[in-house]
Amino acid sequence: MNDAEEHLALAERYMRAITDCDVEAVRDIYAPDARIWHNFDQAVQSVEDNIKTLTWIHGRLRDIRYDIVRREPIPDGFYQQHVRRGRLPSGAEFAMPACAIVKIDNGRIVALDEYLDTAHTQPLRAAAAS
Amino acid sequence: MADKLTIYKSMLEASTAGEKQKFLDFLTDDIEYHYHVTTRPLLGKEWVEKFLNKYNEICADVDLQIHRHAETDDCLFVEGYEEYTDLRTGERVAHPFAGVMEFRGDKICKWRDYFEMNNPKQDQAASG
Repeated sequence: MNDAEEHLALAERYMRAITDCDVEAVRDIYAPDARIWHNFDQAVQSVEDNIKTLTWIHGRLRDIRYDIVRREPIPDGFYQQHVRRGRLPSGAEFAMPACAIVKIDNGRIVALDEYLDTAHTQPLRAAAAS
Repeated sequence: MADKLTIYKSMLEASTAGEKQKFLDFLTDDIEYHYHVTTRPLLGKEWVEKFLNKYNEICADVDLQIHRHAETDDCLFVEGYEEYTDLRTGERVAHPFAGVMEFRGDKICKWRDYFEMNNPKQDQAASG
């Protein structure tokens, strides 16, 4: 496989792991010191904090899936536009569009920048608070 | 044909210089512009021009920086940071953004920006 194919294969593995909340697989895909950054707080998350967020989401949202709008390899990784979907405890559908830019080194994710609008996460936060 | 980042930067320069027609010339007639993800897209140049008029009424001292970019055959991806003064409130608004532009030839035919609509700078000030 060339670099682009390897990056896209890793993207597939990563998306499957977070869709299934396969914590060990997620931990294996990230480099131990990977930095996960979000535009809304501009803070850097560690791998373990990111996994906590992932399990928090899976604890409150059922039937999680990702609609991939576009995914393209770039020289050091890939970028992806997607919509995270799922079902809230009320039964209502949840949808959150986002754009992720992923940097890969030596076959593992070393950085992930995700852009979204937290207005779209409000129904999930409201469900968690109730 | 210029690379896509050069085209994009030229378009932004036209915008900040107030050269509206030049800005619009970088877009296809059937442009689909999602200026904020999930907000209803602007379809066609006429609609984008109305948006641009509104933007210029509201935003001053725009500082738009591109931090990272990547190109494919038909697409440009950028990460950047935008600051402007909201003339309605006098407040300085700032947010990081990601943009994805799809090209047809040397013109942009689809454009989608991702950012936090609330002003992170304002939030920081409120919490600080």
